[in-house]
Amino acid sequence: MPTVITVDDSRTIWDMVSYTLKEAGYNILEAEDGVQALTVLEAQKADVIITDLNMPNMDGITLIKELRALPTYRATPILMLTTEADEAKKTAGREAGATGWIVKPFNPEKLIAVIKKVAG
Amino acid sequence: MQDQFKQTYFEECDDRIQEAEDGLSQMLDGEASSDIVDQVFRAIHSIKGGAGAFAFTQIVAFSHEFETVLDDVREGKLIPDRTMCTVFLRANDVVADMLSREQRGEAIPDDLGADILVELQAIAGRSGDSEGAPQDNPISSREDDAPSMDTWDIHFAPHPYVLTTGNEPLYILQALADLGDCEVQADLSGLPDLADIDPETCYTTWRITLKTDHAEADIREVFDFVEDMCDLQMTRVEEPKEVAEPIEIKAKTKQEPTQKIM
Repeated sequence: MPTVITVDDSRTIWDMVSYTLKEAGYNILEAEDGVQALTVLEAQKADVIITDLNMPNMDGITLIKELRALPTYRATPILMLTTEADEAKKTAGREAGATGWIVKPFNPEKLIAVIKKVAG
Repeated sequence: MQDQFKQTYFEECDDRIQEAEDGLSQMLDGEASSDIVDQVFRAIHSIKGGAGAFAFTQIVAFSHEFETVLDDVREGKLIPDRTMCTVFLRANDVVADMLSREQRGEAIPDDLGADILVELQAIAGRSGDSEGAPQDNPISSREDDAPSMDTWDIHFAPHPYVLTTGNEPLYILQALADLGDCEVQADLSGLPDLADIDPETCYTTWRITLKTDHAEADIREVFDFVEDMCDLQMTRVEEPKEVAEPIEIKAKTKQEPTQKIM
């Protein structure tokens, strides 16, 4: 099964995403912000990256740009956690190189459907 | 498990409320650095995000208004003064009060924080139309189409660079197959000679016959990540039909001109 990293400074969202994906059989990595994500992703390859946009230290848009500059993650699916109202941020994320988005709030079925759409 | 998530959420919110209060107190003292404003914004944003997950609609609605004003401060559209910061501190108290009531299982009065909401909207220069506020039901079902079994003829032609964006047409086709009975034909006529193939370029297009009781919006949602990087044609057909429509093939390789992949 693919390895998915969840990057979010909210423990609630972090727990919900990780629990749902673990139950579905995915391997899970976790990071609290962009800086920690880069450290984790240098040590271990992820097949899908899920990132929040508003985080301390390094926000999601910067993280996406940093990852796209790395050969390993040049074409890896990157999904941003966003809300329906965040059209401008969705656009900014796409311009930075995000593959798609997960709209908050989400239910487990929806989350897994989105992951399957980019990683099988 | 949901109860455990909620417990985590309420514990996290205690920290967030305190972070917001600390930041707002500093702003009240005239220390509105971008780091402090960001800290307050993220705290309220995080509370709103979790509230949405648990359908705490009143917290979502109020914190959305609060967050919107804070975003204006963050972007420099508003310069916070003591009056404004006092309103923000009271708004933070309202969020804390709402959280406490949810945690205790108490109903939140409809008018709780209504006066602060008006002040927040006045600061932002808006009337109380809640434009852009999240909808009440966060996990809404689509009701635009009544369930009925339809057959769709779909032509999906991703642009050549689609693979470089992290999207993979094969997985998109698999997601489509999850919606119903799916027959897929690949048109390989765009494939160059083997020596000329760029592994990061998509040369293939697909014709799909999908029999499904899902609404058109659900089908289109499968393609939402690639909608601006593909040509997509969807036609509802009256009767289920065989995928026998001839596709002009100009294959340059010795491969079969079409491959049924699903």
